[in-house]
Amino acid sequence: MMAKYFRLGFILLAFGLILTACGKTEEHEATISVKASGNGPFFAGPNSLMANYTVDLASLIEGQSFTAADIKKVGVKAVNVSIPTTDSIGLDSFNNVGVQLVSDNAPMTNIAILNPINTEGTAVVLNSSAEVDIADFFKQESFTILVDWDFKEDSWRANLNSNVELQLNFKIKK
Amino acid sequence: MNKSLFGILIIAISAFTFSSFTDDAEADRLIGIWEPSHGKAKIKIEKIGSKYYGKIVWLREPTDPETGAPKVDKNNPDESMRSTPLRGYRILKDFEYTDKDEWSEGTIYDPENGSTYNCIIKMSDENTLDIRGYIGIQTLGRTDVWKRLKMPSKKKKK
Repeated sequence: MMAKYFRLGFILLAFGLILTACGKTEEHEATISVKASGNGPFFAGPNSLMANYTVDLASLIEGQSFTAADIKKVGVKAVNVSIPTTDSIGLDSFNNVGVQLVSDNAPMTNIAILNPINTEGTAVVLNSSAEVDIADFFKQESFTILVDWDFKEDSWRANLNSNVELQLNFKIKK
Repeated sequence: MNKSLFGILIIAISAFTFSSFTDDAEADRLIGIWEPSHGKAKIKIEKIGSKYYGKIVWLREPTDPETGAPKVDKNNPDESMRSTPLRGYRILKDFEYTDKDEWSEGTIYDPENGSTYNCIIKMSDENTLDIRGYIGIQTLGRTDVWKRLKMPSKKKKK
């Protein structure tokens, strides 16, 4: 009799665990835009530009209210980087460009690269990582977006700015 | 009475500020350009936020003999990131100064096999680092000695 109750209890517990694990998730897209900047001079090779991003989950996805604990995964769909059109420098000044995320409480993560840059003009779409999950960055107050431009030659300019747009795919527990 | 309390407060604030400055200065000794024992690369360690990162700034053989192009991270386990150039690649990530000439909580990446290891850095003297990469526990690892790259001193013109 006792064994029967134990078995029933075990089945109910397992069923509850399965229901919890299969909790409903929704997918939503979000776009983050920031201006990264760095001070010169810039020497031939990779030079970093930085932008601080303050996480505001309330305004990230229109019409969706969720907390950091509800975020299951954040994937990177696309990363676009551009130089202001008013700037005298063009993409032909660089060998390649990469974007990484940095924060005090999550490991640095490479999210996109374009190597080589085979285009002229001022805007590029990078090859974004298909595997990366950057959910941990959205569970903090803020994080840093790092843009590494690989300069072909030394440049004695005082500063450089870049516009960075991250198109992200959020999986949120509902 | 009030004056003495105010005095104590000022001393306490000054001591705290001085200690923060010295802690930062001690931790920042890691910043610089370092050469691993194999001599195939030079690594620049810099500070981003409150943590330390090291990127490849020089390669003895910068070109891949198979492709004739600059070397890329062809062993990256994430296939979509294999076009990342090795020059500029951050192989040391997320180090924090703990205490007593030691930086920990970071990782080291080996581009030759695409593996990332836990890592601890110890400064044995101002110009020497013991870099220990390990899996799981520190005893299961390997230590390499890195030397600080010194800038050539300018010769006086006669």
